[in-house]
Amino acid sequence: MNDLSKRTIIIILFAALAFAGFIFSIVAGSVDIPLAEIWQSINGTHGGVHEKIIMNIRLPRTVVAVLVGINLSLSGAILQAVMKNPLADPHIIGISSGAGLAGIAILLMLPDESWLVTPVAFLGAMAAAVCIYILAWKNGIRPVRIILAGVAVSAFLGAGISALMIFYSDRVHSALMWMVGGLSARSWPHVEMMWPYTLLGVLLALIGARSINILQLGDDIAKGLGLRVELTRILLTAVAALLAASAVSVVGLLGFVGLIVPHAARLMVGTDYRFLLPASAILGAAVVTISDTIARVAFSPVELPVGILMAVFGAPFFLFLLRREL
Amino acid sequence: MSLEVKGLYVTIGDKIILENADVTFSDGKITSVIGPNGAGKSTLLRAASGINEKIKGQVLLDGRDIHSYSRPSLAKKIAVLPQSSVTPSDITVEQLVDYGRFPYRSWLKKSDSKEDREAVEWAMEATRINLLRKRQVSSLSGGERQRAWIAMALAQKPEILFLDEPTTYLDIAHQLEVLEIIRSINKEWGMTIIMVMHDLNQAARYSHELVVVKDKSIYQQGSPDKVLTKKFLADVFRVRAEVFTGPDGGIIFNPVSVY
Repeated sequence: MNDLSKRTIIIILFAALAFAGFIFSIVAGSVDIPLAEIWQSINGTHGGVHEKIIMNIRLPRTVVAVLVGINLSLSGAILQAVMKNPLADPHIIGISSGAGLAGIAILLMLPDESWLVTPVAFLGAMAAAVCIYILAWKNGIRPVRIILAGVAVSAFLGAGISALMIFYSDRVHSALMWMVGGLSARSWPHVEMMWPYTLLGVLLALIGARSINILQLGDDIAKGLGLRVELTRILLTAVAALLAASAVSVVGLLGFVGLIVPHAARLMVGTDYRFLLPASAILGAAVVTISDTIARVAFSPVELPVGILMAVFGAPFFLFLLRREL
Repeated sequence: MSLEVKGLYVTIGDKIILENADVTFSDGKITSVIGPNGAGKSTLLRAASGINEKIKGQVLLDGRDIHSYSRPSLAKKIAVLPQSSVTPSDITVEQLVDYGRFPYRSWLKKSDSKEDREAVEWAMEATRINLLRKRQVSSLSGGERQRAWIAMALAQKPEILFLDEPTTYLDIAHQLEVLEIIRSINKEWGMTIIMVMHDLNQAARYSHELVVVKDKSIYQQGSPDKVLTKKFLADVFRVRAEVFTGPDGGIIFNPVSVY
């Protein structure tokens, strides 16, 4: 009971942090807008330039940050359990390399058709994930085979990315932004593209939480307890793939969120996925919104892609976690 | 609940592990599977319990192919404790035992029913683990941890309980403790117990029947006093041994040398 209330309190604290991050992200920016005007803008009673800034730039960008944070963190949390590997994240199932190659192909070869980046990157991510699955299939799915197939496919696609960047070295700047991952100029169309996946992913992840708990006991025990292990693993991987693909195709190859946020959440709420999944989702939303806001305003007027900030803080934090846990 | 293995044939990769194995497990009895290392004991257990789906031949549960049952409905009839298990680092005994109710829940019906709570209590009492319910499983001693796992299996309220070497890695006191618990579960609730055992004296002492696996097939099946003979020990284990009848009428064997 004690444990239960402790975990609930931590999740509520995460939610408060996410809410604070949301407000921070809307208030902070290169143009100073008083709080009263922000409120009027959201009400729709303001009507000036500031309303446009709030409603067309900051609010949608913040919402995209929230969705990206939720999607990547949930995806990572699910994959870490399904692959029985604490280092698993959306990269491992080829999402990043698939989205990366597809997105960069569009950015470099068809620079005038940049609206194609998101849908094509999504298709690329899913194609890479399916490809890894097929390669890893041999009388069922074993996590080790997925991880190995993932490494091989990612290396293969990475070669394609490098080749494109060499052939089109004059246009590499836009590709670099995509490789690092950033939220610059993300707006309502991106929100519209992502939220159905977030909703679906959150629902399926919460329904699957108890099955994930059982899966963590090992395949034989899980089967003995009546879990359809193969089917569960395939469905959960598919959910994780959809979540990550929808996020990555919008913001580029934003790393570390899917790896670090679930770990940080696990340190605080433990391994029970009924708590870990909501905690990861909420913490992910908080981390991405706050990081993006800092990346946006810290070096104003230059805007840093949030991916750089995530890596700068994420990598040392990850090492800290590793030293603590292993 | 009857359990029958017919013409069982199991391969792992290209290697044949069991061929043409026939066993009928006695209902309501304790049966121990014994045999040398690598003979296929665990393989037989995994096939007979339905964990291994990729088998040839038949496993019949109440006369019906075991794989025609859905996983959840099978988990209400059969509980299995494999040799290796992963214990999550931060789970309490009570939570672990509660996982045994997984097959009785669905995502529509998540809340604990009275039946669930009673089953968990009963399982913890039967394994004498109830005083440790709030402890983390990772902080328990080997014997206590094994009892917690057995409690989880019992919470499934199975009719048949499979255990793969339940006393491995335990000291002698904890071995006996676990075996006494297994015996009392069988006696009081008539649960069929099928387990893989290494220690022949313990297998003889705690089982009604022994199934001997040797060289990919069933060498012999019968009561301990019929199975444990000098000839058996020489044939199956290549061990020269003396066999006594103990003061309580049980079989005791004393290994002397390897042939």
